[in-house]
Amino acid sequence: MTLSKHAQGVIAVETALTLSALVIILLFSLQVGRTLYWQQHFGYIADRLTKLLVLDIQSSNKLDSATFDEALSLIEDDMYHKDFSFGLTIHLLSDDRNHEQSFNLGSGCNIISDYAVKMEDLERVTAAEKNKIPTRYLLGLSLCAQPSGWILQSAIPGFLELPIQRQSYYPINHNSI
Amino acid sequence: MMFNKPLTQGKISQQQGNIAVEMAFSLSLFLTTLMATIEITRLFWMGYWLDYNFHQAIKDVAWNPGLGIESRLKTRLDSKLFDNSKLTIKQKTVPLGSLYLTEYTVSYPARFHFLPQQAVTFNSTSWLGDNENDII
Repeated sequence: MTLSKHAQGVIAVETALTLSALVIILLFSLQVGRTLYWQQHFGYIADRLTKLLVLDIQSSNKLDSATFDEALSLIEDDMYHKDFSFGLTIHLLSDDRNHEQSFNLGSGCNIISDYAVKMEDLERVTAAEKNKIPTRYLLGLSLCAQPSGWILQSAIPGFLELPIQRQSYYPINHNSI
Repeated sequence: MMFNKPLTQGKISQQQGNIAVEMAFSLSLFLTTLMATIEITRLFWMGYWLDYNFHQAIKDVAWNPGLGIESRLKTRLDSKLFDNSKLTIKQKTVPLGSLYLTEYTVSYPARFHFLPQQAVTFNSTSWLGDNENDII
């Protein structure tokens, strides 16, 4: 049995449409999946490093930007993160404005980070009244990972180049500052 | 008033042929897509659970040292389609300011028949301070 030219054409068009739609859906799922995966992963890393940096500040009783550089190196040296360029923004938040400091590290996308950089902008800490408790300190860390060299990145740059940003905060014992 | 013409035997055979060919194309495409979807889901399932449980194990050890990372991770992965004998955990000491951290890296190789190389090795890295309870 041979198919007519018309039938062959219909089958070819249907197959092409279906196949391209399926490929687009699969690629979209892959992109969303890997973005969510890396968001989760960098969220864990931000939490871990924030706590460890506070531990270092409390052990040495000082804020040292060299230590922040080492934290960035720890992330960058991990060979599994080779598809990203990183930026770290670290803020010391305090009720006492004179004690507030900030540090921008790395060549990544830390400049566009929009995480809260003032004590009063943070939820959960605004309830306490300054006069009744010692001056509070928080270390805020924003980790920004800019994808580079991902599959098909150049094909859809606006969508696949979106940076992944995760933030974490940890309280510092006021006696350490 | 219009009436549809009755189909001849030849027309019916041709339509049946068209349907059979289209079905063969669509069905194979559908099955391939279904299998690919299952494999992609499995890819993210394994990556997600390995990463999540590894970091949870690190946090557990930070607050309650003793059992160690490996046994905590294996216990957590027991019911999540992982073959625990393939888990590899490496550790080394790295400095962070005045601290010395233990850097843990976990690796898990898994087979994926739809990928060109048919295998993916999942990795995750995290750090643990020796005295994290002192932070209080």
